[in-house]
Amino acid sequence: MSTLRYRRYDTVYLGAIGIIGALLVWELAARLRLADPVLISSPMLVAGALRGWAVSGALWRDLGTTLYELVIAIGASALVGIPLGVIMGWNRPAEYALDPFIWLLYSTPLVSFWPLFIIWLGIGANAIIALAFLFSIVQIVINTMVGVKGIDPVLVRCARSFNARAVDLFFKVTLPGALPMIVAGLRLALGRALIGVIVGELFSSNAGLGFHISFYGTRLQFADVFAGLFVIVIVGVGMSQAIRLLESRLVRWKS
Amino acid sequence: MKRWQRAWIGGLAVFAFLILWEAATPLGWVRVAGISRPTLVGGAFVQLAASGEIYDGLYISLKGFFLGFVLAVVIGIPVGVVIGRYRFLSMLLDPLLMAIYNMPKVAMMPLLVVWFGVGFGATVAVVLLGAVFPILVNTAVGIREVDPVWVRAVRSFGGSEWDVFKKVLLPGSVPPMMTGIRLGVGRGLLGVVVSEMYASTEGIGHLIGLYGMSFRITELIAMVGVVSLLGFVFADLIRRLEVWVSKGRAEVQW
Amino acid sequence: MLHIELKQIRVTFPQPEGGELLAVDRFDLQVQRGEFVTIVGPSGCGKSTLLSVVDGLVRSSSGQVHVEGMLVTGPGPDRALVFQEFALLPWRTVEGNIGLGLELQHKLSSRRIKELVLHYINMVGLQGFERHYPYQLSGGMRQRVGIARALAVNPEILLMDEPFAALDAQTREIMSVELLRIWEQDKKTVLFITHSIDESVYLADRVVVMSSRPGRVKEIIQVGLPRPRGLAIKDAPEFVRLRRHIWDLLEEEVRRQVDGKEDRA
Ligand SMILES: Nc1ncnc2c1ncn2[C@@H]1O[C@H](COP(=O)(O)OP(=O)(O)OP(=O)(O)O)[C@@H](O)[C@H]1O
Ligand SMILES: [Mg+2]
Repeated sequence: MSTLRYRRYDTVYLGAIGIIGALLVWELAARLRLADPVLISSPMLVAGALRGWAVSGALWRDLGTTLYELVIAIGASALVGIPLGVIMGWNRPAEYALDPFIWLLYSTPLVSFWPLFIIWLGIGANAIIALAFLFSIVQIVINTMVGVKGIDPVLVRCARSFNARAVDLFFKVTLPGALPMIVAGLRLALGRALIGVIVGELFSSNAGLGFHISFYGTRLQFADVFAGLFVIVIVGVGMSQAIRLLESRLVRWKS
Repeated sequence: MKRWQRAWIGGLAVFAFLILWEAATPLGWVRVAGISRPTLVGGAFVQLAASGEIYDGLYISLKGFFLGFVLAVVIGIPVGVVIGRYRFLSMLLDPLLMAIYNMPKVAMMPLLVVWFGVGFGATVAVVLLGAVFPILVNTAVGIREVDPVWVRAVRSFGGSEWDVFKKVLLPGSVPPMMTGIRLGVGRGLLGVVVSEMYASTEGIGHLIGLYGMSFRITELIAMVGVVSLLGFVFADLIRRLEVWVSKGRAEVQW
Repeated sequence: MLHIELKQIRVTFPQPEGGELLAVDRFDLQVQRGEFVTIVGPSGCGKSTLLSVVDGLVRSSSGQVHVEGMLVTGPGPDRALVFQEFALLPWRTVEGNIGLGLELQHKLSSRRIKELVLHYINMVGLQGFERHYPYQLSGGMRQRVGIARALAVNPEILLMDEPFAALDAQTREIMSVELLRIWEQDKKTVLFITHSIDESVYLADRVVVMSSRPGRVKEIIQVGLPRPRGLAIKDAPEFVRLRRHIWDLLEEEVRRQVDGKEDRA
């Protein structure tokens, strides 16, 4: 019942029990042949596959490739998306003009652009980065714009009352005021960029976590596929936790 | 007045974009004819529509989407409600859910095509997987954040657990639930296209892959347009639904 | 010596449905250097608008504001505004907020700014809270920061828009005593808006009572009470008489405003 009080460490060990329990059920299902072990593999086999992958050194190459594509894509998105979002937040006509494009990109399943990227950029990292860029930039633009528009107008009036220059207004009021929203946008954008990178690698590449999954998937070596998924989970959770940490450091001024 | 301004400035910008796009190839701004032209794309669109080539694909894709999405709602909302209501369950499952939530479900494509069969089965599965977690997690969060004062109020008037669910938790968690559904629609559509592009012989995703492989850029862009339109229409429908739902709430509450 | 002169100020705002709203009309006022003038009036009569015009944030549709004979065309370092909503930057500490105006003016080195900030922190009694963020402060402390920030740029004119409105009654009294103490030190020219009749009389050399919208001068009341003033002065017969008089003036205006609304309905 919800009236019971739980202590802080309860979340930790209960969560651990949840994960271990799920793994146990999975292992038993495979051992007792409740489902075809070829199809569902098992935690033990996955652990073995993971070790083999790491020992061969391919893991580090694949992880490196994926992270590289991810970082470039998200960096480019931030570089382009934040200024764009600020402009849209500041200037009504600019917002109205860009709005249709942003919303179209936000609601479109962006993978459909993949064949175009392949044709324009060729098979390889560039097309993957472009796809991930497209996935993430929309989120950054939207969050930045909302953040800028959400700044208390009295703060802007205050700065203007002190004769603030435009540069000061930007760096001392607009940017810090929108920062929490921008960082939250960055966190969501990272998740979206990860989708873009994995899909791109899944479709065509010769390295990366998505490639690993697709490669072993077609060979029906599902332990290796699960190992790939596991690493992707680690990357996803790790990044979002890292940004959360950044968030909590950056916005210490919030009650 | 503002509404009107938004419409015409937006329309003007789109028009300007189309003009630039149309003129880019003849004026030699792009070297290869890799971007087609809006007039050609429009023509291809009309042709595709007239020849009926896209309807079969559209039908298959939408069928897969709706089946997967309905399953996601049917599973996601009740499970989300239960997890949100019982603190013990949520503590047990949070890390697990967090891990799965953060994983791009499309990465499971290679498994799904074997488990559920290339094509329709895998499509339904990936839509379900993509949509169910946003719905489930947001519903749980919504339930958890309903003000406990209301729960106590219903209880103090002798309400049962069922009353609490029906009168407080469910209506109270509608806005986050809608957020989950909106995200779910996006993930679901993405899943359809990925699944059909990855391995299928039907659906719009398959057509996109096909035109891409044969470098028929004009048709390819026309198909991308079809998919975009689909996404836009769905997003708009959801937005309307959200407005409608919140309006109904306002009337009930005050 | 004449410091601020408002001549036939008229301010209109465009309405969303089209048409214009006349917020302030034919407003005349002359303020002497070192004078403390308070402004009271019904809600929505254009007090804040008027202050924004003097600060230069809002342009009047017609009429002019002169400060020391110079036409006001925008915000200037000779005037500083204290906001009703405090308007502190939530991501800056007390120090950072007090130094904001000085920073934005780009006239002093950051070292000099630090020294000045320290001085004003002491003046408003916030020692020990230099590194606190606004959310960690009480309402009264926040407004001290707002006042210190305005004082720090050493303006000749202090424009205060209901600076104590968000405070509880007790803090409010303490703050007004503090304000007078600070003001006695260098006698800046102050334009002070308030809804509290008590406050308006207690602080002012003159009280301007405004009519309901469009805001005009209804009456200007000379407050002859001796300075420095303590809170005890609020019991003096002269104080009570002034308060009563202003109350009557305002009641008339508020009634007119309400009746006007009923006429339209
Ligand atoms: N930027 C603006 N745009 C449109 N109308 C405005 C604007 N600022 C003020 N007004 C209108 O002008 C009138 C006067 O507003 P103002 O804020 O000056 O009143 P006030 O006397 O300060 O009221 P209060 O005592 O409630 O603070 C109001 O009717 C208000 O709606
Ligand atoms: Mg006001």
